Amino acid sequence: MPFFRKKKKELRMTMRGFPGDANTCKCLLMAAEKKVKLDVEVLDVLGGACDQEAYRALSPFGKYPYLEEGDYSTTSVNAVLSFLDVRGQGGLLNPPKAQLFGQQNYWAQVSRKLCEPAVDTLVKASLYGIEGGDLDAARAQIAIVLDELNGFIDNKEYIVGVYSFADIHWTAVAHMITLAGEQDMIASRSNLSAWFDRVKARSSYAGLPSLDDVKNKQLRSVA
Amino acid sequence: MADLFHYGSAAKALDADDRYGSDGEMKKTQYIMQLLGFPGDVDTLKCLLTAAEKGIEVESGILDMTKGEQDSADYRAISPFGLTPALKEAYYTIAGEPGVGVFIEGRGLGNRLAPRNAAVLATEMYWMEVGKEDVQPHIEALMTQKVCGQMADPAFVTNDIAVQTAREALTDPLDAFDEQLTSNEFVVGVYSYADIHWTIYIHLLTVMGEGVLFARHSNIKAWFERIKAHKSFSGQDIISYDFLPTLDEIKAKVMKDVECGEF
Repeated sequence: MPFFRKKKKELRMTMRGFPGDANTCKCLLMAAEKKVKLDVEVLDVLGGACDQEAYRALSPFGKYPYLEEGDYSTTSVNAVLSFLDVRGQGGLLNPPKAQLFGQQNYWAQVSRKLCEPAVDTLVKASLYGIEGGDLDAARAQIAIVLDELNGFIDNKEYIVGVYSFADIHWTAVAHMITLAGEQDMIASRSNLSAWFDRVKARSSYAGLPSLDDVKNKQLRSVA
Repeated sequence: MADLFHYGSAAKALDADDRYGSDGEMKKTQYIMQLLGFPGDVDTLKCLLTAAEKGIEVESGILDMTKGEQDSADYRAISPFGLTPALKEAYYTIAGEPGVGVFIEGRGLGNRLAPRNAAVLATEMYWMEVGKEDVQPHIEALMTQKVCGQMADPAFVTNDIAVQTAREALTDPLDAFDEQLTSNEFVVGVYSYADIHWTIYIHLLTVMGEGVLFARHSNIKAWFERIKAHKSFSGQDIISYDFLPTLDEIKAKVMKDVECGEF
């Protein structure tokens, strides 16, 4: 008697986000990594879209990206990433070993708290012409964090060894740094540069918005 | 350079009579964990509560943040960016609440705190994000204005406008949190990390005399009563909430050790 394997139902979800936002890029990466088909809609956060009454009815605190699957919806980057991770194909991205799990979360916190605000300043200035941030201070802050990360990933294939949420966070950040014209910040650090080459070789990277996409505020669906 | 983890069991000889585990009784926690933090620090208390919930015994050390010790060279040798708290177990060190929390969770007893169902997990994450971004900064502002500012400098004068601004900013998140608890025993139904985060916010509001901010929220008050009576998630006969510091302890810069005892 032949064995029959139940075919996993194709997952199709819809996400609203912004191409110049690192958190949106993380969710696009995760969807591609986990083989989730993702239809996308642009939420123009620079134009105040997340403060509109209609959007606040969906996301009371204006958090984005926003994800829907059927009747279910969720919003904010960690919620969307976790949902995609569990609903998608393959094993969970959280490392099972406590030590690596701790390091993963440490580097995710460093990214979100200490690097992304500075990257956002550079992206707004270089891609959208929004001035006001201290660009030199932003570059200096990013450099301090990248130096530390560059040292940490010496002899590691991925940030904590195995591919994890930390790589999702930092791939999006490295991509935004590159789009902002600051690619030398990555290229000048050998471990970081080699790591970035490895994550760019993964098929998920191709789904990230290009420079034109970001400038024109457009997103591509994850197929 | 000083080793800030040189306290408690770590400061004793390996064969000392009163060193942890020397009575021959083995617990899962063969190495006791050392948590370096501050009793008025939101992230430190989240980790302390996680340890109690997961049955991990912890020796607490004080990192005096009112003196800026998180920026000292000694602490930066442990946590290069000054993220708090820091935790050490044997030869492993990690800093920052997201890293410390999951390490304790992974080494602890019982089921995982993170829900397995995708939708419930995402909801847990959402409420943690709301807490971190829309609540925690205002709790920290109140803590600075009402408690820690004067601990750092006796001449510190409370900025009433900053206090009022923080109170007003907490109105919407507390309203939303109360609504979330309408039909849930805990934040997402089952006890999870989200409860740990919000326990610290509500506890610190209470000890700072800001309980009036949720006085009209019956769901929050009922949930908080459940939290205060909640037995350790890992099944040990302790009430995790009892390890949190009182206002006097915060002012005295005292933090309890987590001692789990028997099941």
